[in-house]
Amino acid sequence: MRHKLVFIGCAALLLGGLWLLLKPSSQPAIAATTTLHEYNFVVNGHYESQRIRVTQGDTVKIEIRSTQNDQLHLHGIDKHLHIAADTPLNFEFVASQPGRFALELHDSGIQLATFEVYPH
Amino acid sequence: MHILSRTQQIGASVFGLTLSSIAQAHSFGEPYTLPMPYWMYIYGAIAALVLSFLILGFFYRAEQASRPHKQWPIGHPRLFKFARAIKLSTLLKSIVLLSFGLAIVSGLIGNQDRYRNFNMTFFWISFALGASYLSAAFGNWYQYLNPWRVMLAPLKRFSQGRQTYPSQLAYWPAVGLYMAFICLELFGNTKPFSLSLILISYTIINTLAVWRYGSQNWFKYGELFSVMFQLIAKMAPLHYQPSAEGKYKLQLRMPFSGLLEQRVEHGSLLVFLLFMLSSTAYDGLRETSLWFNLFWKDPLHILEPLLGEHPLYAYLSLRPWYIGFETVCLLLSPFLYLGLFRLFLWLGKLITQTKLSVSELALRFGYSLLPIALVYHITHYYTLLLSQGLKIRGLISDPFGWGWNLFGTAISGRLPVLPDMGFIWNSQVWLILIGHVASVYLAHAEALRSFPSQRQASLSQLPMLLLMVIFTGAGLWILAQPLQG
Repeated sequence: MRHKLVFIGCAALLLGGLWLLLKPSSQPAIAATTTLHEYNFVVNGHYESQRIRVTQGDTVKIEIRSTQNDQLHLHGIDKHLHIAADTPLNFEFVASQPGRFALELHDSGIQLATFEVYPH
Repeated sequence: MHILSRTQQIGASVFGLTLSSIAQAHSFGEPYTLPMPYWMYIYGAIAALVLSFLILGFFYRAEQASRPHKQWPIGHPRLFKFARAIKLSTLLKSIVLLSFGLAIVSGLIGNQDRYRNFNMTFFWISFALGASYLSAAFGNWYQYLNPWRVMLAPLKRFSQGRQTYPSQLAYWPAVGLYMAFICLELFGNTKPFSLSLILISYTIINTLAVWRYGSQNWFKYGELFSVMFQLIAKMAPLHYQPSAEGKYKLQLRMPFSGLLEQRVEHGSLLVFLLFMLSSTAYDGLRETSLWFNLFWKDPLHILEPLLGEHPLYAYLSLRPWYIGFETVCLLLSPFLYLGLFRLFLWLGKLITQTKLSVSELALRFGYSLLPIALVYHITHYYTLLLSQGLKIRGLISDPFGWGWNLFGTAISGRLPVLPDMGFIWNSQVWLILIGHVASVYLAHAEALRSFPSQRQASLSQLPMLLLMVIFTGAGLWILAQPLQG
């Protein structure tokens, strides 16, 4: 039993020390500024998926124009929108949740972009 | 305050191609996890190394290894009586069977939007992931509730089998089916309809195999989920088994202790186990920019002279080759891991001068890799259970995606549960370290049993430790890599 306690003690000490050693010192919070990103997608059957990096709290404005009717799905905030052919669709969202979220057109199976929302 | 960053016209037809489909990683569901900060990966790798040597230093006595591991019976007899009274087992069997039935029907006639149809979320997330983790927590439940076993159970004469199971087949059917399953997951791009066809085909395969080899044998060696969940259940803190008098016994034990004193039955099962590890690592790797660019940016200038143009421009003709290349890498991955495993065991054999063959050592030490495989799987996929798996609640209300709301829980814009990224990164590092410690401990316990002296046992573990640090480090490294868009 003593053996186990010594092991747990040593392990905790080493892991804790290493953590303190390696963890970068946290930056003082920069004045709360958020960025507005605007993207304009034009889809006509061919598309290269974009990786778009934003920071938590940023606002993203999107305009999409497609040559066919489709269903737009933004994962994460779970937005489902209908796109009519040749009619621009505008929407905006605040990237409040960190993570990677795909923006997809479900009917044509095209992935327009992946939003990488990084924490502050 | 808003700062306008950029207004972009993201152009169409960059190369006149649909590059998006290359980047699309899974058949269904994307983990939303961001790459882990680099310092955490470095921390995890060093911590794994340090912990390994601590274990080696502290748990070195042979009598510790030969002590039987503890089990505590739990569950009051009244509890079992109650379970019998409400026919719990029949109830659960019916739920599992009906869910699979519903999944097949909804794929055939329901909405083909993958996120609106019940079957994609049910099979790829609730079953393939959720059932694995249920096995890790609650043990061998699948043995009793396996829908295919339950479906064929009433046909007693049919399920007896027509011939004895050929011993050389061993677990190879399960390995083959597992490989097919992962190929479908990674490259299949299944839709609700095709998923239903796959489930129907799998039911036919199981039925024919049971007819030929019998239920007992097929669900031990052949049916892939039986083999997979049975492996995972060995690590669970709960174990359920009928006692000699036919009464049921529920045992509580230390997590992972079910792997102590166990020898992998056959080389094929070892390959299966290594594929659990390698396919997860490969899935992580192929989503990284590094892997993507290795082929498409052609840094070694192998493809460009062959094609006469940059590979990205030859996308359409190269795409089938790329899928082929990825499939070959995936299918070779367990054998690469097996080669590495045997190499390090051979080094251990050199050091200890043991008479045991490398193959025998591989079978004895094989199970010690299972904890690494399990935690690695969990760190990769558990967020999908939260982001997509919980939507099963809503999908049950509208299984066909026709706008029903049977139980008042249909998709109502309720956001999925997405834990904070800091929490996810921390949980990844700590889970991987827990698995690493369990693996090192199990290997060390096995060494104390397999080698005559403690000194030999400890020495034999040096190459093994190195291998486990490599597996753990590589796993963390993949989690820290930037991902392809």
